[in-house]
Amino acid sequence: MTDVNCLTSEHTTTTTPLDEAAFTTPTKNVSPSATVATSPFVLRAPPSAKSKLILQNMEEVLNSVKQKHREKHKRKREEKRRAAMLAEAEAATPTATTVNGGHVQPLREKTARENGSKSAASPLKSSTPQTSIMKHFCKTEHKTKQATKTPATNVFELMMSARNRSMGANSNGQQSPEQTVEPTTTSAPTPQSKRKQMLQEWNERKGGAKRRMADEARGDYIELQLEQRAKRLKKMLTQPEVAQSKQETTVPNPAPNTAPNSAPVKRGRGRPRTRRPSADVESIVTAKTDDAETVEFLAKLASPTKKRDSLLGYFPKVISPKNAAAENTAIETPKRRPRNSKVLTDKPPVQQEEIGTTPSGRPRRSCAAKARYDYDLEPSPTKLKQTSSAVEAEDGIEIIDLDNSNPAITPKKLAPLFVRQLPKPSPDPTILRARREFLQSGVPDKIRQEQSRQRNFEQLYEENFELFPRIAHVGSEQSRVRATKANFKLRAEDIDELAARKSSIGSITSCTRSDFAGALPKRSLCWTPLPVVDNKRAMVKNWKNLFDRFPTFKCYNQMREKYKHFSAFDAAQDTQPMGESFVVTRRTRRSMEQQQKHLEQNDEPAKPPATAPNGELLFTEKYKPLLFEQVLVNLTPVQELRDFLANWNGNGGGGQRNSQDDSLDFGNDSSSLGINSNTMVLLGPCSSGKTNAVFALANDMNFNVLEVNAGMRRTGKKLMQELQEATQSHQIRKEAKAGAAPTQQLLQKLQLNGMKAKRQQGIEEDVRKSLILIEDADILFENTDAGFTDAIYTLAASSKRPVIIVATDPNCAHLQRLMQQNTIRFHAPNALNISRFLAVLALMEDCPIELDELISLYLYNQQNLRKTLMELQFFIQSGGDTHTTRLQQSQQLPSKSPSRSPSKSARLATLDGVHIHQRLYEFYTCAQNVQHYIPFPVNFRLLRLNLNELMRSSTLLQEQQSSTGVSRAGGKRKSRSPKKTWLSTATTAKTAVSTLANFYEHISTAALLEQEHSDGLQPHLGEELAHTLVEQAVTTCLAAKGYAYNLFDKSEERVCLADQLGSYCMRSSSSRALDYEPALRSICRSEKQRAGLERRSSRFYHYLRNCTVNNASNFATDLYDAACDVLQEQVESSTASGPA
Amino acid sequence: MPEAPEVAMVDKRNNLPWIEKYRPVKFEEIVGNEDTVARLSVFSTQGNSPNIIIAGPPGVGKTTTIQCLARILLGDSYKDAVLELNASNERGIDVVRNKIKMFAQQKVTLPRGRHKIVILDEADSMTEGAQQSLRRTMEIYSNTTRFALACNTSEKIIEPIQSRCAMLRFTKLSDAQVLAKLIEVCQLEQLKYDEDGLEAIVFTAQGDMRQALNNLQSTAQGFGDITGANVFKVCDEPHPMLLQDMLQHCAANDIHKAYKILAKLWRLGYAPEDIIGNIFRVCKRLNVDEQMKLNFIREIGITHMKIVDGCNSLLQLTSLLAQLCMVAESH
Repeated sequence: MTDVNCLTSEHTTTTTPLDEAAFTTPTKNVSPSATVATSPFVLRAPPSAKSKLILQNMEEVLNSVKQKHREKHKRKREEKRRAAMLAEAEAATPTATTVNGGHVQPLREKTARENGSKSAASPLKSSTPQTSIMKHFCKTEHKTKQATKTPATNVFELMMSARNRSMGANSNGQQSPEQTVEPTTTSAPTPQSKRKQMLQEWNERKGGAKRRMADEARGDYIELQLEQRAKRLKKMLTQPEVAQSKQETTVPNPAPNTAPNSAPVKRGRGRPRTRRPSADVESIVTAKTDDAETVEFLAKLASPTKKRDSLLGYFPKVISPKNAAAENTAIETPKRRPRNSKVLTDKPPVQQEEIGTTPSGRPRRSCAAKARYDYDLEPSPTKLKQTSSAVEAEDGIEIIDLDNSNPAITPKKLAPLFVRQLPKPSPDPTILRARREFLQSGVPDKIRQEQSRQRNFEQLYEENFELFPRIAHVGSEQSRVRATKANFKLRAEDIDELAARKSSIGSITSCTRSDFAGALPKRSLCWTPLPVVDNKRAMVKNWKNLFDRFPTFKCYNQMREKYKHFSAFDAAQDTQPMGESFVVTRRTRRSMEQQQKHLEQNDEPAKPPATAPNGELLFTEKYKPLLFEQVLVNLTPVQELRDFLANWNGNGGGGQRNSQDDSLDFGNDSSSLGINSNTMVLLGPCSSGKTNAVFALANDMNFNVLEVNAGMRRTGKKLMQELQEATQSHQIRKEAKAGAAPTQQLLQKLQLNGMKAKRQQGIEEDVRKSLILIEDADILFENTDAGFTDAIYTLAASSKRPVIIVATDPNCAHLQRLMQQNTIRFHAPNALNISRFLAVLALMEDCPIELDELISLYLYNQQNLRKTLMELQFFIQSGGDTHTTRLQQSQQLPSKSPSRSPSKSARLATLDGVHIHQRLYEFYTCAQNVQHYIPFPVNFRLLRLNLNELMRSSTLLQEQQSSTGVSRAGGKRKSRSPKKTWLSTATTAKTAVSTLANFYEHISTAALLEQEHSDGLQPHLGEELAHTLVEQAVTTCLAAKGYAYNLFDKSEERVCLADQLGSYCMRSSSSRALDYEPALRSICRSEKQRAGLERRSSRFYHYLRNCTVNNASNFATDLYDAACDVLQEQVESSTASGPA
Repeated sequence: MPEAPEVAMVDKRNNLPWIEKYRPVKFEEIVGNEDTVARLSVFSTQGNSPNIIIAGPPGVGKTTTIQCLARILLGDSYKDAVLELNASNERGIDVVRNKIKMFAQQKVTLPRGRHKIVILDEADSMTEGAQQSLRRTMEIYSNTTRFALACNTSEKIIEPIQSRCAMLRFTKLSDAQVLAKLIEVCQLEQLKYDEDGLEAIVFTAQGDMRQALNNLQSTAQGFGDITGANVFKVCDEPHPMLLQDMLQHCAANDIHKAYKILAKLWRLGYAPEDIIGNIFRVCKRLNVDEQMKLNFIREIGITHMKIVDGCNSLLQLTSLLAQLCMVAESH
């Protein structure tokens, strides 16, 4: 057996050299036994021809080498084994009793492990006396018999057994010893005669078991496969008793034999799930008649469809190692039986021995590992060791020798699944030390030198070489470059003769002679701080009449407080510079404000500190309302929100709030919309004060705001985790406190002394209740924020605290359900109110600005208050219009909005010495660094709106009209005169008409040019052309002078579906008119309706997207929504006008 | 006023491209857009600058202005208190949610009225998602962090972001401004130049200072002197003088001579887009009757449209010449 092991290991490690050696070494190795062994093998080779050949070769080789080794080591082995037996025998008696106990399985596992250990231990025991051998002769005999027998067991057998095991057919594996009897007997010397007897008996037993199994299988074969399996299981369960009884009859000493016999059978029982019944049955049937035939059948039946076999298919070319491993396993199978018997008896001492003797690196074999063992066959070195160690030949010496003698191993890649890791050998302390030293040591000198050299080189390079060298090639001289340049004909030289004429200055560019004379004059960037306006109150008083219905003084007082507060705040901060780390919480801010209100009743204005004259805050932060009373615009939605929140405020303080000082009176009709729901959706355009309203109210009503915005990771899971937890805990705490006395006391106290400040302070002592604010809920990042929508809905369903959802898009699909429940709509604040608010604000900042400017800028920013505030801050804090050059004012662009602002808008009354700043709007619209009259990318809708004004200011038209002598005020557009006069003067007015026609032609061409959409990343020629064309047309055709260009336009008026879709989406105008437009219109309408009913309304989504795929990179429904709005309005108006 | 970083003209800077070498570090050196730049310079001394968006065509000094502002505003703590992200950095949603937010939360000790600055260069290349996740961050941390965005088109920036910023629009530099800077650089580099050459560079740059300086450097290092011929060797464009001649011939209703020039240009292999572009630019400065010039531009525009649509053959350009001649004839 050891021989075989050695051989297999040898073979697997170095396949080719051994093969060659086997072929070259001739007759001596080819003993009769070997030839006998080969013949069946050739017959029973597995079906594939290739593997057959390989197996054949291997068989020969194996046999030859086997012979050799057998001769060599037999003696030695015997001695060792006997010594081992001796040791085992001493411990045999106690364990032997347990064998019959019946729980064989655990024992077998142990023995399996023990076998290896024992064999490893054996060499050490070689010195044990011969008497002990005689004592336990039967055992040793058995063992040696097996050892001698195994060399003779043919490769095919081994392989077959391995295969069968792989299939789970253990019964066939047991057959193998039958054939091996004769070779062993021939080869074995005389002391093994008894062993031979044992073997024969054993073989008989084998045959009997086989026969029985065959009979059973015959019966099973008729039935279904599953039934067969079940039956066989049953029979196999009954089998061991029979086997045992047989053994008892046949074998003289039953104690060692029962265990081996029962063990394999049981082992077979554990397996049969994986094997195929039909194959098994057939093999069993045939196995009875002839052994050779059975194996052949088995080989044939070992179909690759087997589950385990398919695993073997991973190594189609490595059959030889497989074979070798199969040998191992085959050897194992017969060995196991005797081994069991032995090991059962002499387990404990061997185990002890094993611990001492086995090399530390060798892994111990476990039962689980053994079961998988067959498939681990691979020639990689680690594997080999494992196999050898796992097989555990009776003496480990051989294996070790072979391992050492065959270090050259053909490296074969093995899937990591099959590589069993060897525990790393414990590292040498010296190596460890060296390694540590290496790690601790710095950069080696060599590398350091290398680095420094490289650095030097780089430095040298940087110093010596230009980045853009004049001479590109080494060795090329300056003169030579010149010379080649002459020869090198550039394209431009072709036209040199034509372009030789120098261009006169200004012919191709707008540069003038004076520009060449010297550089531009340096601008002086001196900045003078704005003069402090002293008598603000007086000015506000003046404005009061103008600002009818606007709470001017309230606004003024508030702002003054804030201004003072923050100035004082900054000044106070100045003494102790804390940097920006000081963050003003709302509470502290408010309390400070309250304190100041009491303290600084005197009217002296607080000055901002000198170091930070602009303060530290944005206007949006500085002047935002902190309390409900401070909300000046957009009162209605805030009121609604307060009513909603009042239901959630424990003390109901919100409802009792008096609104006496609000000059804009609103009814105190607190609707009960928030009672039955905990969710509120705030809808409104950008910067309409949604979030601020929530924070102001939360501050006022003492809520703690838990904010979730788009700047956070907000997957559904995270959201739920954080918010759910927060709400629950807060809720609990609140409820615990709600019943407590302090709150009621507080309430009473509050009612007693109605002073607000105290009340607030009192509330602050109380627990702050939470409020969940979900910002930007309509923004959904599908890939990063999975489950956000669901989380919102869960939250809305389960939360015990108010949930406020802020969204911009009213048609946001995933919020539709929530929107239907509770929605507060915010609108952009009214322009007039805002302008007054801004005017007071500007005055507070010492920079009073004309009302018109503010209105215009606000409207220009599309009623975006925040942006207007930002730009106002930029304008004011950079000095207003005082320091700007008067260059642009000379151009006289009175940029007023005739359509919107009152045409004769009253100028803000000023007191003497106060300059009212004016150029705010101009700065942000047309005149910011721009030389054009008309803003550069021409907006033709704006142009259309401005045509009236342009023509009114057109001197050319007026001249022509005056020349006709007809009193006509303007062009065609504003023909106030009756048509008759127009017709009568048709001939004379021809020039005017032609002028207009000319003008319109240019404009239309420009509009056509403009149509090309550009990405704006580079100036587009079409845009430029269009702009020039328009501007030129205005100046030359109309000769308009001093016109005002209106820059804002009510966006609702100009929504047109076909325009938005783009002309090139439509195949032709007729098709557009006939097909697309009505269809899209109806779709939009129906989608709009559906959107109100269902949460998801994406039925025609794709269709619409395809329509807009050309000009809308991100499909937004607002386009169609806007269109829908227009259409609906039209429908409504038509229906309204219809009955009328 | 905190001292600006010294314009150290050390030898190292010799190796730099001129656009870097002569990049302004003070507000006084920034050319063009005087009004806005002057206002920004006020903020650089006074502090508390609001969030800003600077929009404008390339090469007008948007990034330079912002960097100037940040540098002067923050001085030594520039490294700690400025987070600069341009299109080469990753600026997805995650970066905004993590990196920018972390930076905004970070505590840096700064003088009063100064804030940390997040510079988002080329902000129009940020995805919409990233911009959306930025919006509330801008607001929440506005007490400590200000944002400065630079972009080419303000339309690509979503409305909520625009709403949180003051919009500043930069425009192309005027020819005189570019020329002044070119002269300054030429004197510093001790180049030999003539007016023709400088004007040619100004013509090719089209109000883009970066391109002007690059062209200047290319010409100087390739050919030495800055002359018109050399400039047009480097910046291979249809020669404006040729085109001017051609247009003059058209205005004189002489299609044969005009066509000769056009055919020559065509033979030289210029793309029709380039030719039409230069024709337009030359025509703007053409010294003819305004009405006729207007009509010329209209015809050029129509032809440009045809070319953009794909009809970019010599035929279209020839028809342009014919149209121009007809316009001239009708006058």
